[in-house]
Amino acid sequence: MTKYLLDTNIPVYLETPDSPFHHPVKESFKLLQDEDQLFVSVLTLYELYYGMTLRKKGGREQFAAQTLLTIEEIEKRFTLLPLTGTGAPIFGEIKARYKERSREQEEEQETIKKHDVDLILASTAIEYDLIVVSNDNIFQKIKEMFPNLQVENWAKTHDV
Amino acid sequence: MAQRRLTIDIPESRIALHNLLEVLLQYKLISKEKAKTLEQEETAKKPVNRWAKVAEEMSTQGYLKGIGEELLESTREFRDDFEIRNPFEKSTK
Repeated sequence: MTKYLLDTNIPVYLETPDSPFHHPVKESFKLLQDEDQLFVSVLTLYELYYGMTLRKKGGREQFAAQTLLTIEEIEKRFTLLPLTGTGAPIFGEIKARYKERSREQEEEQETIKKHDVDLILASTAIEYDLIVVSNDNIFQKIKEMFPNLQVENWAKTHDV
Repeated sequence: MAQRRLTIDIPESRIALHNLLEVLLQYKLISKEKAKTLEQEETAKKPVNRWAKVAEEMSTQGYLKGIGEELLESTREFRDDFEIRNPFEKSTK
């Protein structure tokens, strides 16, 4: 049995048939085993609700309705993972090391700040021993610092 | 020239297997035909896949058709704005 933490982009691609990433994600699901477990972080819901509310306030009722249906679908299909106190020290370690490395590479401090959610997701994955599944390269960067973080990208094309 | 045999354990995860086959193909350590057969055989061991069903159902619903990318932009915006601050650090904003 393998356990995965799906980043927000994965279920979104699955519900977006016109996305170029839809097909490879769908094909990846076919490669899973019944006993595999798929999780999403509570932060995924937070950001989806943010996107939905933003558009709703902008008069995009249809957009909001479609997003709400997706949120309900995600909650129904996958197991929701809360943030916990035990993940906090892992986050602290990851963020400190990430900041240190970014300083060495003279990256903008503003850029580092933009990755707190990604770093929390990585902490959650390490805490629960999950494989992060994302189409975001940031997780590969984090893996370079934390080799025990496992990462897969199901949005890559499958052409074997 | 003497042939060398490469022995590799098949990973439990089908996706890990797929990624492994991609690497083997890249270094020409396996033929395309053999990789395809191996992957098909491993997938066939589990003909009923509940996750394939989930993917099929969500694809058919396609609730985010036409707006998926825009929704992901707002999630990126959420992440850009999200920050855990050190309460003892002076604000620069």
